[in-house]
Amino acid sequence: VSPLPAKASHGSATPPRRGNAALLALVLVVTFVTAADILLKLGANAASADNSHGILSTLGLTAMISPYTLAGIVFHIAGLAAWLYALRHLPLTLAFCFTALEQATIALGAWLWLGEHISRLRWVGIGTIMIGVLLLVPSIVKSEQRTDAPNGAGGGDA
Amino acid sequence: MIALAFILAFAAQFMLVTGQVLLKRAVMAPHPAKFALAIGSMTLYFFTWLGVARYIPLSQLAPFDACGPVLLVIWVRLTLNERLSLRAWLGVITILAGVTLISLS
Repeated sequence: VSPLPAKASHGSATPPRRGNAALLALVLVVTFVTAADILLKLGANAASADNSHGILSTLGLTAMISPYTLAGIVFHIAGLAAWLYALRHLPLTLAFCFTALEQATIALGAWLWLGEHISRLRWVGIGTIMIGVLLLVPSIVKSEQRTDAPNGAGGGDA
Repeated sequence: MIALAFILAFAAQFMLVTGQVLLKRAVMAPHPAKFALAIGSMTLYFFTWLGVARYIPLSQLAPFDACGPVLLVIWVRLTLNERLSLRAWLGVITILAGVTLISLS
């Protein structure tokens, strides 16, 4: 795999849809990681219900036995694949801050499916994160267009 | 025990952020050792986090992700040469504020 070019050559245009690929990748990261964390919590709960005191229990690894945990790991791997794509095409600060959205989605997921309470302050925080993420979106789309290899995909105007 | 769990939750975030900086370097200039370091750091994060999840409800644990973005923004400023637009910085600061609000809730 060759490293990304430091700069795109001038006058080359990215096909319109490409600009949204990194954004789509980030949305997939958030979705997969949210699913993964909720599954892992279900796995950890199943482990807490188990009263054994072996070394697995001490290390918090009894959760490994639960199918929820295994499903959670699969979702984390899917998330990692999408993340690698996003990371290659975006500045780390933008990509990582976008994934702070997970904190909103995980809290919402825990509220919906695990019956966990969300305080008023947390709702405000969730809303604030969403506003911040929306502010990042234009830069995410632009960043990918700027760092994308031209690869001769037709010659539109920049 | 709960206090230890919270300390481990913070340590996990530090490992995650370090792993992300290493991973960014790895995808930009691939080398097996770089990937190994990055994955190693994130593996430590994962198992620490999994252990901590036994002791703390998820909605209380998720705010520890709050430390993540703050640590990461500082870490990247120190180690990588990234330029962001004014609007993007505004977004980053808004997100850090939101994340802090959640951690206070």
